[in-house]
Amino acid sequence: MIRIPVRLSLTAAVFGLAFAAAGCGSSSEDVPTGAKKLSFKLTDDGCVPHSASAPAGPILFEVENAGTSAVTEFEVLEGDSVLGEKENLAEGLSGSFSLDLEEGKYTIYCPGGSTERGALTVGEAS
Amino acid sequence: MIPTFVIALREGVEASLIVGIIAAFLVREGRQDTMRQMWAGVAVAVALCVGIAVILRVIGEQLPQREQEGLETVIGLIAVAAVTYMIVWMRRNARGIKKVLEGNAANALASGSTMALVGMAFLAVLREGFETSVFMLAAFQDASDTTAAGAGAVLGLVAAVAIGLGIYRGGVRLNLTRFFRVTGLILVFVAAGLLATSLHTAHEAGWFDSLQGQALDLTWLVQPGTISGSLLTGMLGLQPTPTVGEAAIYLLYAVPMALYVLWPDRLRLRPLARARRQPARPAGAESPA
Repeated sequence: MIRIPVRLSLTAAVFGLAFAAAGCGSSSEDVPTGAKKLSFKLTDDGCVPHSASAPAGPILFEVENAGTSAVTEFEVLEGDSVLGEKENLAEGLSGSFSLDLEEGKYTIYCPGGSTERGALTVGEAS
Repeated sequence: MIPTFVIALREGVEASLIVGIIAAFLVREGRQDTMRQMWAGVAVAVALCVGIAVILRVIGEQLPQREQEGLETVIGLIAVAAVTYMIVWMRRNARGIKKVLEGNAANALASGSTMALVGMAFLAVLREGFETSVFMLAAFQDASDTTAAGAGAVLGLVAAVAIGLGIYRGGVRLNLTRFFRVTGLILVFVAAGLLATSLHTAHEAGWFDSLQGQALDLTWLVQPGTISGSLLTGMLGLQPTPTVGEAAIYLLYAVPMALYVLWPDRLRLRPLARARRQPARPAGAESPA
């Protein structure tokens, strides 16, 4: 009777530790000093502004749901590959994440908006 | 209130559905003795998720999104295997069930399998639990109107649990043959959805970038931000705009498995000699279920 819960909680602990370790390992969430800040709003029309630019280096993405129920997610893609995202941003919620981006062209993606995709241009480091 | 309700419902309903079906399955197999273990697993998973979400918030860290999507992918694939096993087991036993007295089938389910199902209930909760816990805390603390957002989120979870409970109740009451058929079919779509969702989370984890073109526009059916849309995404894994990869893997799993579950016993492949002696059956003449 008692054996199984113990085994389960062990499994749980292992998962938990792995998860916590993963969390600590990728401390990319700490906002680097001097990060360029880009703010976006989620609207029925998608991410606003639809396009943005920043110099290469650390970029802090601040995303706020400005009153849409159609869009609750914000992603930054390079080609088809997801580099960073924020999910479950219901109306009134906001969130942020930071990425260290090299010079190049990226896509901002707000699934559900009438304009789902926008452009992020990263130029030379300033 | 509605926005947070819809998200909490979507995140919670999948786990609730899987736990509900596993509970009904275990009870139908006369394994009430394992229910306590199942609940213990579910409770540990909930505690773990809430605990980690609280710790992350206290130390000011975000949920590591990529790792969390990776975890969802791995557990999702384990869930597909477990659910497929349940479907096959039910299909096999639905045929022989009339000969065996109901409840006497307890011995048929090996205790190893029972434990696997108990573990599955734990994993199902863990899968969506982290994201849901983080979301719940955000709704309570960060929303511009925390009362409405918090209430919506809590009610969404309550609704998700109520759906799982309803499925459990219904599952326990249905006659066994019908229970196997009906849950078998539901599970086919649940598993296909899990498979497609796993491909989606694998993409968000940075593991899979192929076949990302949009295959279909299901926004007329799966309307973002609505309760019905949440249920379709949460229970059946339907995305508003599935990619080519997601749509393909969904169909590749769902079509053969649905045929496998629904194929009437009388039309099973039989030796050619016997088949030749019998006149061809007109299409549509199926055996009564």
